[in-house]
Amino acid sequence: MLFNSLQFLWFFPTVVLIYFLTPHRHRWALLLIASYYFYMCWKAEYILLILASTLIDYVAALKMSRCETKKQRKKWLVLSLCSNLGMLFGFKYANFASQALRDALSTVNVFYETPIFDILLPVGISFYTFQTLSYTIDVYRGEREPQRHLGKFAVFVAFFPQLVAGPIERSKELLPQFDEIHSFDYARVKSGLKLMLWGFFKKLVIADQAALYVNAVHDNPERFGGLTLLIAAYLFAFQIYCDFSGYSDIAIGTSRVLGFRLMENFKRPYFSKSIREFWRRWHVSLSSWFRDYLYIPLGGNRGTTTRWCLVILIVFTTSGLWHGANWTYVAWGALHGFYLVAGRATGSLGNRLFGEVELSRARWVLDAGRTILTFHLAALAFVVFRASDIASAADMLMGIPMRFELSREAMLAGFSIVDFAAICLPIVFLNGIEIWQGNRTFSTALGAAPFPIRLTIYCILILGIACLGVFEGQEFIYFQF
Amino acid sequence: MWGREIAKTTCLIAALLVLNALIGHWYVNVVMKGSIPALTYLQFEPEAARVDTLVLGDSHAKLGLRTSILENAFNLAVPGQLYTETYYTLASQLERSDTEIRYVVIGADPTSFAEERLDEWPYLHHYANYVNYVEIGRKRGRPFEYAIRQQLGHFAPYVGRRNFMLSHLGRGEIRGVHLDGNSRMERGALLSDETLTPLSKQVRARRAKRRADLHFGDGAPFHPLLFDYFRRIIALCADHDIEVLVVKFPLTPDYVTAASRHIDLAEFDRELDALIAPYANAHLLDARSWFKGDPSLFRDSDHLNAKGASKLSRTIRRELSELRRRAS
Repeated sequence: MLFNSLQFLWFFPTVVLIYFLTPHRHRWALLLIASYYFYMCWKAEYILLILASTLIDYVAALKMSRCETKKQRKKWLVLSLCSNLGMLFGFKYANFASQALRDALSTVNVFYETPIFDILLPVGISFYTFQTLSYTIDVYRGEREPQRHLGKFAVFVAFFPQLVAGPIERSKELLPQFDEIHSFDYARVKSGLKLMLWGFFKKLVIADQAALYVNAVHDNPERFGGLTLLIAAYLFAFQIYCDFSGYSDIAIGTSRVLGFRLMENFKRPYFSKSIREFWRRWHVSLSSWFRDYLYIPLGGNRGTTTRWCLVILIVFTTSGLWHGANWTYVAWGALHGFYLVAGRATGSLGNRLFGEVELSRARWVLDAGRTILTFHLAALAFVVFRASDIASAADMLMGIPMRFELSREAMLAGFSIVDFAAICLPIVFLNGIEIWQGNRTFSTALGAAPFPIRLTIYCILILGIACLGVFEGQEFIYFQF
Repeated sequence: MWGREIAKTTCLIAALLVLNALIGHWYVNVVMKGSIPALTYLQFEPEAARVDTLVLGDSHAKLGLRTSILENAFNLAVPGQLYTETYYTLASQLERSDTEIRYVVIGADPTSFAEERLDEWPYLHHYANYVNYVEIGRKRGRPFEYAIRQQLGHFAPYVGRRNFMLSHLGRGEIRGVHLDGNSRMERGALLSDETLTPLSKQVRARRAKRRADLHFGDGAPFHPLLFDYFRRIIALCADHDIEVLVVKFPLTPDYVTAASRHIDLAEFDRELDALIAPYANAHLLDARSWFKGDPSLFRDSDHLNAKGASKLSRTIRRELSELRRRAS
């Protein structure tokens, strides 16, 4: 079931109504049934994977808590890691690995038909796998006690608002909330609905409209000049941001209506002044997962600079691979790793060159420059992310300067000026809202605004969705991860 | 506190209702004013009492039959119309007190039964007035969705019609929805002067393949609901003593070849024959391989142009004359 479907329009109010009418001690059962139904609407049999993951990690965590030595606990951790990552590998990476092996062997003139399987990628497998792994690792480290209630643990794994595309929640944040009593709170429900509305606007009006231009260019990139490719790069940067953050907003808003608090997953990332800051604002739940479970165990920023660079490249390449079984994702992750390494290498030079500017009134010029540069670095890296293969990505990136031509036709890429304006103006609106909200969340900023402004924004969002929304059942981009 | 909340919510609802009414009015009365269904019914209303032959269906019937050549006929077909909608179109016409309908001509081509068409809603504001979408939704197992769509058709017909509204703002016309420079309407029939003649054989074949892939490419090609409603149309005609001429419209060999990659045409024909067989009032005219893909008679791989429509209509007139003779 997609959030942007009519099915969700009856599913969600029904669940909310029954939830608040159900006694607290039975609510976990309702949420579990609702979550499993939500997932099974996509492909019923794949619920067995979530069940398997749930049971293995539930048992592994309980067993770990009864072990006296770390060596004994490690056995159960290894079981959890192997089974979860094994399922993830089997469904997501087996064909990629098989193809990569085939390609590698063919470079040394060994031609071997490695098996390719006809497997449908289970929606959300990367997300719920990492969520349950964080639980077992936390139990192994002694950072939390195991959850003894199987039903509540099952809801933690399969909680429908964030099951298929995050945010990836930590057990110490989400699990205790299933023991809290959530009563109907008008202000909280209103706040949740506002956030959902904003999420739908970002997805249906900004992301799906931008996709029309981006897909047209990516289908035939060789037809287009540099300006078109550059505009497509900008639009894809906003498409993926609004698609993903839109989903997160709907997930957070949906949970808030029910009384649950999920972590903020995006914090206006395109206002970052460095790539380092970008990764503190973009897909926060995933980047913090990699920080806590890969980067720090590998040494973090302890040790030499060379070691740190190696750790960064490993973490970001792995993060790229998490996104999908394609070399473009690996390259995208590695590119960001390279950005961070280069940023550290040039950091002291920047301080020497601009140190005085930092203290002067022209600081805002420097900040604006950094923000624009960071946005461009991120947008150009997303060209690699979006491309079908490395060669296409390279061709598109090279095509921007080599085939650059400033003309109205190049800008419009076959779209009418009205269509192009319809795609771009909501992005301008988005940036206006994000500048206005500052460091506040959208709900907080909107709640503090005078009523006429709130009324205007509500009307723009609702009628914007009605008039400009693309309703052809477009899936969220991160569903494929 | 509650008083303020209620007041604010009321303001929001009032603002949305006013804006909705304005946008809806603009959409129906400006954007869609010159649309094909709007023009069709504008022409039909003064003629309705004198018409005894209705041409129904989708673009194949709309473009493929020149009603001025038929006697006392009017072409009420609408491009993209589904048999679910055709059924209710016919039912609403039969409920009129001034109706004289005795003959129906309806197309029965593979694309008219294609599943991919079921989720297209180009003229929702037009159909919502007389199509029972809730019943259709119940048959499809999606009653809630169809009920929402019915209400949207009444109260907010512009929802999801982004392309229509933006095209109107940009060019004033929407290709395929409004008449373009190469077509005109005559007694409801849409007559196009475009031909395939200027195109090379390779280009014709490529375009035919693209159209066939579009019609049948994804998933199951046909949907049983469309067969069910096609049967209901014939049954409705039988209940009202109306003779039905079921026409398989001419298709180019390129399109037939391309479509055959996705569908079993012989199986489709058998299913259609079996569906029509129990009804004595239904008569089949198989014109699919007529015209042998003569490019001067086709607008595209599966639609006739004005010249082709004229030629086919002369045969249809003879068939209808025979039916009239038998009836008298």
